[in-house]
Amino acid sequence: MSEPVLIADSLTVRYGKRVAVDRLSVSFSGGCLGLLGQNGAGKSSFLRAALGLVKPASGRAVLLGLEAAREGKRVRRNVGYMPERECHIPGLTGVEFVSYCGRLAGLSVADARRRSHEMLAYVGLRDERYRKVDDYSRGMKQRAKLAAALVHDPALLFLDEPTNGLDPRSRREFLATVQDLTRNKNIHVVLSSHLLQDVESVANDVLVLDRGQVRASGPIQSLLARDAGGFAIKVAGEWEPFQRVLEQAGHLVHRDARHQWIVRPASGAAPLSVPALFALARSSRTLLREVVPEEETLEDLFMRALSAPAAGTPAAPSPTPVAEPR
Amino acid sequence: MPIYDQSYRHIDSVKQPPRFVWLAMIGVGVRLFFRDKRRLFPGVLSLIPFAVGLIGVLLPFLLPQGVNTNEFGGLALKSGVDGSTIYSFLTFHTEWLAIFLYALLAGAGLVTNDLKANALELYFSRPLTLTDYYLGKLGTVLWVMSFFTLWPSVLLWVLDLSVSSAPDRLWTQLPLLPRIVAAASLATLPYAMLVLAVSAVARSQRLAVVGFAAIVGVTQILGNDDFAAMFENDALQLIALRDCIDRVVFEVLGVVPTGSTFGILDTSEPLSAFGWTAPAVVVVGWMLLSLLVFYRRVRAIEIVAT
Repeated sequence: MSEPVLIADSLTVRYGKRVAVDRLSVSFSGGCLGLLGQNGAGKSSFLRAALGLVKPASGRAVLLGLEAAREGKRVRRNVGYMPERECHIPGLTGVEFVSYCGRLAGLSVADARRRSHEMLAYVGLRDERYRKVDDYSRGMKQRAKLAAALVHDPALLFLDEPTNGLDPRSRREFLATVQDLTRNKNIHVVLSSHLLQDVESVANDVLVLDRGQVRASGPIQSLLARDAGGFAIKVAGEWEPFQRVLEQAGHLVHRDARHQWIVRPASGAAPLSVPALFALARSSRTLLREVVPEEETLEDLFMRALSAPAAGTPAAPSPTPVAEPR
Repeated sequence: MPIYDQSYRHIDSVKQPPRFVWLAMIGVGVRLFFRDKRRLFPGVLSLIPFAVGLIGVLLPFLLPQGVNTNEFGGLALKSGVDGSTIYSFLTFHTEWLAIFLYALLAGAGLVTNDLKANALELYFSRPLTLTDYYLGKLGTVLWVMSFFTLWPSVLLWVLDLSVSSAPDRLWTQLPLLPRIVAAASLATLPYAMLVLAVSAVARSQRLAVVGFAAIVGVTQILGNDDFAAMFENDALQLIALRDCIDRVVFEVLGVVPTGSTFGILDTSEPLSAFGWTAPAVVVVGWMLLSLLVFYRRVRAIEIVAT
């Protein structure tokens, strides 16, 4: 197995008395890592410590085999960072801006200029590259930031809330670009976001943070509970009579994001079974057309992770489900 | 259709941490500054003392042979270029005004605008240290100011050499060149450092302009001779930053107080009550204070921005 791209070992970041990242341990072997957490969970602080911009109070972050705190300059030479906030150099056109970022990353004038044209074309700003960045729309500024983060050809890319404020189409295009980077261009990506669908659509690993502590980490597929204990149900005809019977029996009924009816046992109640569902359907004179065991989504995982106790300081940051699947 | 295409190519060469990144910052900073051609206008202010210096250089060619240039028409005239000529040029009132204005125009918005546009994150996520950032910004201001201080001074020196018929002129004038570079740097560096410190502290470019003008103006008023006389304390004169800088420049150029050129440019010794060390300490003090303020402020912003 190849060497991990990113390792954090008991990493702690403090700002005065406030602990932003608390003994965080994680290992990311490559691909796309989704960094999840609510506002103030410590995502940006973790990224900044990993970039060597903030000195950790204890622990260490190792990127691409380089320790961030000691070799920050070398780390940043090989890492691209797209900040969350809108940021640019006032007065520069798109191509000047990206070229300048390339120069700051150590490219020669000729290389920086060539790469800036390539990167702006790659992110879809070929026709807008001679316009001033100040005049770009929000979506265009995000793309320009991505081009600036890619101009020096980083091996690892940090994206901090990259789809914030984008319209649905721009968001989908942006995520397609990220997917292309990880799958076809061999660039590892750490995607920090509070938009779970974004992470779900591009990431293979996930790290859930809450108040600076790890709540869950590892490959998404191994973290998701295969059987979440509920069932997705379709019926022929009216739904309401069946819903009434289910609720009288104490089960929880709701519609999920895909507009499917989901039935789950109430907390403390006996687990649901297919025969029991058919019995309830018979009593309400409802014909069931489809009964599928419910699979957990990233949103469920996230909520479950936040309600679980902190992972503490695991010595080996291997993928660990936070709770046993029911 | 996805927005990406197959244009992404990896860089084949070995990646090394960059050196002298600040040179790239200076290049872009100066280019951006002069993109607005109206900013060349205050440079006219430095043309006056330059023209006087130029006349001094060309004087032997302008007057008939045998005319004593030191007593011409009742005016004190001096031909050729020496420390006094450069000192007169660098410390003339309109030249000082040009230095002051270019410090404001080039420096007041440099850090403030970066803060406003959140550009610090862009800089510091690259292989760039705080020192690189400072050198880049300082270099931008100094380079802009050099077009109106250092390069005209060097041009006078070169013109003097080129029109002189004395065979050993180069050897006699060569020691003046490093003095010119040092003096022009000293005449601009404290202002450049001060304006960057103010720019780092101020919330907007306008406030930075007001702050810098206030510091320079107030110190000049408090260090006024009349003010010192009123309080019967000569040391108060050391408050005036401009006078202190002039005194150090005077010393660096090895000026001998003589007559003035055309009666316009003054070469009398500034802060004559003091040696050069006390004014030098004041200048260095201002520079260190500016550096400290900048570093503390930018580092604090960088951490708070998380």
